[in-house]
Amino acid sequence: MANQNPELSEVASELEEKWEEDFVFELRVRGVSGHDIGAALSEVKSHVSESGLTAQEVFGDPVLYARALDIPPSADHSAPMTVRLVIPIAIQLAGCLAVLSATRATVMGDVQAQVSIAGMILFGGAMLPFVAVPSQVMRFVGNHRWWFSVIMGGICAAVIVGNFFLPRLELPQVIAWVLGLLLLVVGTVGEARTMARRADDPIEDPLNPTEKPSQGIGKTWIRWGPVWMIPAFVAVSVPLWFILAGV
Amino acid sequence: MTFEDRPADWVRGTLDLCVLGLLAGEETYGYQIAQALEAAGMGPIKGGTLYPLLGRLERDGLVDTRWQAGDGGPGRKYYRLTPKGGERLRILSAAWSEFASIVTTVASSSMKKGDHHGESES
Repeated sequence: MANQNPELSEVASELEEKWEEDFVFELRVRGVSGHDIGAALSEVKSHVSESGLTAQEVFGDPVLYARALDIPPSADHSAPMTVRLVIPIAIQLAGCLAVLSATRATVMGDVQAQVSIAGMILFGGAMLPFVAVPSQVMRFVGNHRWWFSVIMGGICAAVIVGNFFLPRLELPQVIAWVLGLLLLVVGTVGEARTMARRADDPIEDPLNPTEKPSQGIGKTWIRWGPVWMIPAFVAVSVPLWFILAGV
Repeated sequence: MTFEDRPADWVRGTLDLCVLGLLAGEETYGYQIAQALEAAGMGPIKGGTLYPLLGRLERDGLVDTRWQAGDGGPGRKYYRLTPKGGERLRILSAAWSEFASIVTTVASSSMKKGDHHGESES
């Protein structure tokens, strides 16, 4: 129904946008293709437009509705694609820990950098949920950003502390820097290439498949998380370490 | 008796049969299906119930779909029965007639017994 009060109309419009965003986000994390999301969204808009009711009134909770549709995930969320995502992350992790070890060696004035094998395992374990149950993790990230930041901060702190106390592999400092940065670049480029294949899946209007009416993914930064998270962590940690050490 | 007096399970359990029945008549789209069901006395059918069912019918190959531009609004997804859907409708309709008949017989015989009890008590 048309709302005469401009303020109420604005609120209603925001609610519809929020409903749509939550609906699309849930379908995205369930691995539904942009083509199928576009079709589901167009059907919602069509019904809402004809009934004069809101999406919430007609379809109820957007997340529950997205789940009820039970649309199968696209091939991009198959097991081979998951493996292609995991390998670059593992390379990034190895690079991250080598760079951190090299940073520590530089700060301490050591010739040898000590790369923590246990730290790699710990960090790898922390990343595992992103690979094993990405939908649930991404939903958690979307709904509890502050808690996600706290947990990731805690994991990073645990890795740094663990780096000092657990068994380590000794490498010359220069080799650790070169190897670490090389692995980081290779892992990040590999991850970005894999993600680009997945990201190239716009939400399509079923009547105009070539047009891109709405990406509907205001949370793009979350979807690209596997690419930027580890390099961002390194980019923040290394300068911070030097600053704190007064180097 | 209104639709509000009926248990919700009845609608849920028979909705696929009713939708297949509607689609047997003509090609139509979601909103129109909901309207037709309500007009027939099924009560208001929420989109959250109807569209997941239509999606399932499509995945099972019981209906075909096509998109068509709406009247100045968003496009409409039209559904029509496939031969497989027609066969499913025939089977379900026959099963429902038999089942409804059994339920009616059992329920009315219970009522008759109840009447007899009532008569003997009075």
